[in-house]
Amino acid sequence: MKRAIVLVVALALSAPSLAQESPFTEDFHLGEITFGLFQTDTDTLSSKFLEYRDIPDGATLPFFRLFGKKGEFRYSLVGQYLQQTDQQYLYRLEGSKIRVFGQFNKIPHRFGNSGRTLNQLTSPGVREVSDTLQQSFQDTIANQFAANPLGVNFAFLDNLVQPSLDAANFVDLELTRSRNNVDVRINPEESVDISLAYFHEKRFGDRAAAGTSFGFSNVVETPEPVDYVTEDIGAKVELARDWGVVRGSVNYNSFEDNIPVLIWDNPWRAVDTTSPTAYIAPGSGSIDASSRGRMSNPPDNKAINGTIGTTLKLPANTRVTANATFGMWTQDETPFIPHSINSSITEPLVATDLSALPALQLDNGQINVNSQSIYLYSRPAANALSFRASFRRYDLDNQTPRYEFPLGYVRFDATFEEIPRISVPYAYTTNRLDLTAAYDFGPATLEGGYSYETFDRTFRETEETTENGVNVTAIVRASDSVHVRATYELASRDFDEYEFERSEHASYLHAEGIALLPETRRFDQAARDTDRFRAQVELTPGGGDVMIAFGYTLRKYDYTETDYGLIDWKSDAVSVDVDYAPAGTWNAYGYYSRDKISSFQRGRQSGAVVSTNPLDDWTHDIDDIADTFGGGANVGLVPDKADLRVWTRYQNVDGNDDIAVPPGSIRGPAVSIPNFDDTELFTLLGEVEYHITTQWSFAIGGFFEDYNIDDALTNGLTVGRDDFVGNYVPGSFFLGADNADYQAKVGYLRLAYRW
Amino acid sequence: MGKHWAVLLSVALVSVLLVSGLSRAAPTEETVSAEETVTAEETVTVLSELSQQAVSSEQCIECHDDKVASIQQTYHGAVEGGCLACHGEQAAAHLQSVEETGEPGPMVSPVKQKASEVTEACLQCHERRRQANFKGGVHDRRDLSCISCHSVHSFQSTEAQLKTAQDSETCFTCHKDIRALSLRTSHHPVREGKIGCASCHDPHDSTSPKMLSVAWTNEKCYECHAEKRGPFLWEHAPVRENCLNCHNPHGSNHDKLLVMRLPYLCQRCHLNTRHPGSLYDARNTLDGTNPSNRALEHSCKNCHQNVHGSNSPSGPYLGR
Repeated sequence: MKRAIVLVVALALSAPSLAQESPFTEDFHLGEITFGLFQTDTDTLSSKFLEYRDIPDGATLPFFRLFGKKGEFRYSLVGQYLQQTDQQYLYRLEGSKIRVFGQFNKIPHRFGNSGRTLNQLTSPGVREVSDTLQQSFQDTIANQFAANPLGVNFAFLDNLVQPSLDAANFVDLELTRSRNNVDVRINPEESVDISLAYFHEKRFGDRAAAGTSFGFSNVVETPEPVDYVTEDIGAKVELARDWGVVRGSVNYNSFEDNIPVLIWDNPWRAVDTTSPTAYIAPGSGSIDASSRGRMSNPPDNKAINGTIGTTLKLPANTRVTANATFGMWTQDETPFIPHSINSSITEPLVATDLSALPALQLDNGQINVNSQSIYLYSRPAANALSFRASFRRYDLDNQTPRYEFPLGYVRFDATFEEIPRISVPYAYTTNRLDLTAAYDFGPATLEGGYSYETFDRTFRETEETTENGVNVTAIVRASDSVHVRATYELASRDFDEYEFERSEHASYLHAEGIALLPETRRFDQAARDTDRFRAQVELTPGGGDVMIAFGYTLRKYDYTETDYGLIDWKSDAVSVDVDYAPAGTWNAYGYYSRDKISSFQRGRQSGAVVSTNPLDDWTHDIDDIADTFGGGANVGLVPDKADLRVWTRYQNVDGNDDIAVPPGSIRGPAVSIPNFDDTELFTLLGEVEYHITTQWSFAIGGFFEDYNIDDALTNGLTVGRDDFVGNYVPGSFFLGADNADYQAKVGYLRLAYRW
Repeated sequence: MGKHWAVLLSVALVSVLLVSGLSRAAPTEETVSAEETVTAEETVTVLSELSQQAVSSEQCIECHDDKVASIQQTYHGAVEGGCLACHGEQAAAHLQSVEETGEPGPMVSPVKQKASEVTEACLQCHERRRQANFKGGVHDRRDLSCISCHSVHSFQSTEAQLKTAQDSETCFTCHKDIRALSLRTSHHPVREGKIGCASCHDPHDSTSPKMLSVAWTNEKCYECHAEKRGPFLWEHAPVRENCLNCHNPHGSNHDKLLVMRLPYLCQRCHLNTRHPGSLYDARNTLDGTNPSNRALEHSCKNCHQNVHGSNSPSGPYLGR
């Protein structure tokens, strides 16, 4: 970052020598700097308050800006939240032939604070539990198992581990993205743009790795280390002429994971053994398992993309745009890990042996993507009738070879599953045609359209789905003070055939009994009717002092041929906004919206074989209703001297899951979940700014924020909360990191100087 | 109470007293005008110096100094033809009337002009780069012009001369449903200003569905989430096809921007034997009679971590 700033300053200082002449206005140099003093009080350790931001206590530099013009060069340097974890800088230097734009942006992402775990980071990607503790747990469990296997139950395990958990390490789950990008645009002549861009991002930290499991009865949630570097280098050329534009670009992108493997300890085991299944240990059926787990983190990958395109300006106000893009994504450098880290799995192969694998890495792992689009728009001379046609094709061709695992694989580092598998490089092609015609009557415009989309897939239940749609739009300008826009769209999707077993067959070397309920229709391919409606009415009575806007949005999907799976989904939102800005020293605004998202899905519970009994059915009728209020006012308390700003927002989301089973079902009675991701967020901010002189001003302000979440499926799992039941619950160690309720009070003083 | 609170409260108290004192002792209209006159004179002097090269703007400054002041700080201030470049023949007649009669001639503000007329004026220079395909796009067809979002004279953003400080505020002017979604508990850092709507959408482009600035949805997601690009040894078909099958990037009340909470999202496709197709209800919560780690916390992801693809030979079920 420092180098970037130095570069901009150096360029700015050297501007006179670079400038050919100064055809514009006189030079000027302006700036602003703000000093801040912040004090924050929060009542919990929740990470949610600072999820993507930083509000430190004490002195801060919230903002500065330098901008001006020297010769033909304009420059700008803007900094926000200096020294904070969410700091951001933008710099720009512009002349008639060259433009440099850059940005440094730090984005924190805090997933949860003070999670508790028995393991510690011992080296990058390796988290270990003390060997002594592991051995102690193993021995105690083994003794109990020998004495009475039924005694190895949750109560026993909980009692065993609780003292250690109470004394365990705390870990904050957070990562930071540090982004740098520089974009240089060169114009050797007015009509030619040459752009060179570079992007670099470092992501570093931890997030919850939920799937670090040793079996379905032994989940050990572990912090997942993140140490990623993403780089992108691009070049773009555009030539503009009276007849249109031609352009081309090429990009190279690389993703590098510095910790490609995660290894973590099993608290219950010090010595590797194998468990007959991955379901029962530790418990009365088995206490065997691996002492460690190992999983692949995201592998390094690369992408090269190129684009060529043109936009032609034709007579009769007609434009034709054609674009073609080509891409190649590769992943073939990160070595595979062996089947398992469990040294006791030696049959039918040695699971720790790399030579037992069909390859040492993904050889020629490659996806080719290409797309073509052509777009025509014409609004002929009369300017009343317009046409639009577009066609797009996107093809993802997964060239990655298929790998066979003829003996099977290791499940959760616990047991070898002799189920031969084969990898599946899914691929698809989609085509979309849109046709639109519109006529402008003056006070109103009417538009009608048709769309046609196909989706061809390989290795999936359907080979092709097709969707036909029509839409109509009306724009009404009833008067200067009434403006209405409304769009309605109707579409229907169908498939050529639906073979529910095709996907499963594709990934098994030997087709066996299908485990999927045959009547299942996967929603991304299922037959579907779509309704969309969107309307907005804007009223500006009283000469424009008042603006009232009403909005309504509907999206509705009916999965017409689905008996099991997602049956329907609907989202509708209504809103009203009012702005009042009388000429003078104040304005106010307010808004309210209610949006409801609802869905209905049906499933059937099976045992070892697929059930055919309708009494095993269950349904979820889920909705969440969000009420959102907001408002604010800006008031000139003393003309040109003191201003008051207040704003507030409030959102309450009420989620409900009504769960049902048929009368007479042994699965029931089902118990619904009324607190289904319920949340409440309230913020109130007030600030008075006093302009001491034209250059100096100070502001005193503060805000209050209150966040609450009530979620039945995570309640009781947050460390430190009243309802916290512990980090060990049946079948699982959870970190319990705190991202739940908080109340925060922030007060601040800002002093600004402008020159 | 922290020491900073004491300082803040003291300053707040002083501020209230100061402001209330100022209110009581507010200068008379005459004194305010005097102060303003001095400021305005200074401003005009500076602006006159600044605008020496913008020939046609000189006359405009006499009446519209505030409009010219802001534009001088941008490239628009250097446009050949000055104010006339955008305000066209009307401005010429307007000025001519001033010269001939001393009174300005009639002038229609761009705000009152038809959207297509405003757009046409802007595209004289801007119909290239990202704006090359604005014509015929949904924003153009819905009666929006450049000045629906941008302001030439009084912009609030540090980039792109938007009428609001953040691009999302501009977009929310019409997209109220997305505004409500952005406040959901699981969200991208849009309301924190770390990314904006334009990070994914190109509001000027007319050629791609939803105005995404890439050829396909997933390619946009991979810009920030490159670790999910693969290819992987074991892939998850709907993930490879479209991230939006499972995520709503505008906001959600479910973790990770998911369109539905786990396990119910997974159960829309995986109604298999044993645990995938099982009934999970309130009995499986910690308050229930049968707490289950198939439902609690990360649910399916408690075991199937690598749902975006696995490179582990033992990852056919995306559990390693």
